[in-house]
Amino acid sequence: MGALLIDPVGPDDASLVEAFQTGDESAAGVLVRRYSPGMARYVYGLGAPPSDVDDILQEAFFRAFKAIHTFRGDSSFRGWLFRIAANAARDLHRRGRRRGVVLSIDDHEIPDVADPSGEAEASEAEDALNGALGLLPPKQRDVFLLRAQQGLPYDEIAVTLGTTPGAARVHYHHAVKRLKEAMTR
Amino acid sequence: MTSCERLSDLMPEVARGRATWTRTDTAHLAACDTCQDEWDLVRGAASHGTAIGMQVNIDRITGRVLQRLQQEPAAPVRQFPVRRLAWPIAIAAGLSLMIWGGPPRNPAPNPMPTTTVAVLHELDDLTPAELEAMLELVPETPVANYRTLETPESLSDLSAEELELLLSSMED
Repeated sequence: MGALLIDPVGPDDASLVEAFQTGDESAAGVLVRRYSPGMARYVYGLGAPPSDVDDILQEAFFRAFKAIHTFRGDSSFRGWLFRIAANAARDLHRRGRRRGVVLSIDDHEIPDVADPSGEAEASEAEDALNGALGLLPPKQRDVFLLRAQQGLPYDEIAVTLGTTPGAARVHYHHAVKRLKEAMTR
Repeated sequence: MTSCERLSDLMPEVARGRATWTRTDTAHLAACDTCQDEWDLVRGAASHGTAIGMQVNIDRITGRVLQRLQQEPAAPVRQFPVRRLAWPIAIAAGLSLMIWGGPPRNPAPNPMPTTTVAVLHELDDLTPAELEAMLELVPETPVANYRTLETPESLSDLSAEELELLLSSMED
């Protein structure tokens, strides 16, 4: 079996959450710094255009810190945060759709990665993966991204998405199968 | 667990540099097209959106989030809203005590069969519709040993502390 390597650790999330609750704003900064890059990639994988990613993250962190008292330590802060980020992305998408802007989130459409400002220069392979991700049912896409892109274990994915580890594993394998099919067409 | 399943489970970890392949894994990967396809996919996913992640303006996000939080502070930590739910729960508790009679305070033998026992035998013969009709009447039906429970005349007679005690006893 492959050897597991341990990540270096800083202050754990629970300590930072507690510090923030007692008025230490710098703890919020550490959490934003820790999770922003991963959350940005996750909401991008969900179909958010690169130009919206900062706004989505800002909204997600604001919602999370504002409702920090509802966070229970029985789930991971990371999973809780990612769920809020997905909801923020979908809310922004719904508001955009009302304004006539069409995004791919939950529409099963191929994400429009074209960015007029040239912010994102996705590789050809990334374009292909983006297109294939847009074809997945939302649950399969969520599970695949949390597992393959973010590296979350199945039990954490299950808590994050309100399912069981076994169901998460099944969603993941369906997603892999569909993605392979879509990308070899 | 087959080799393919085991490798599949390890792929995200290896792709993120948190695990490494063994020689056996590498040999299997080289020989198995299915695993190779999946490995290519997972490697792609592990680096998917890296440029987006690096472009995030963390300082600006932090600043704006903190600014918004100062305008709309986080809600204070709240306890379980016992007080808000106290009256509905207390009323339900009172009704339950009236209906079920609660555990006997004095386990001394009762020489006389209670009315409740007789009623329960009769329930066996009732149809579901009749049972439902009877259940609707239960709260209004006086129970024979109601007085012996020392239940207060009204829940409104209880102080806040007594209500809390009652609720605590229900939670035990």
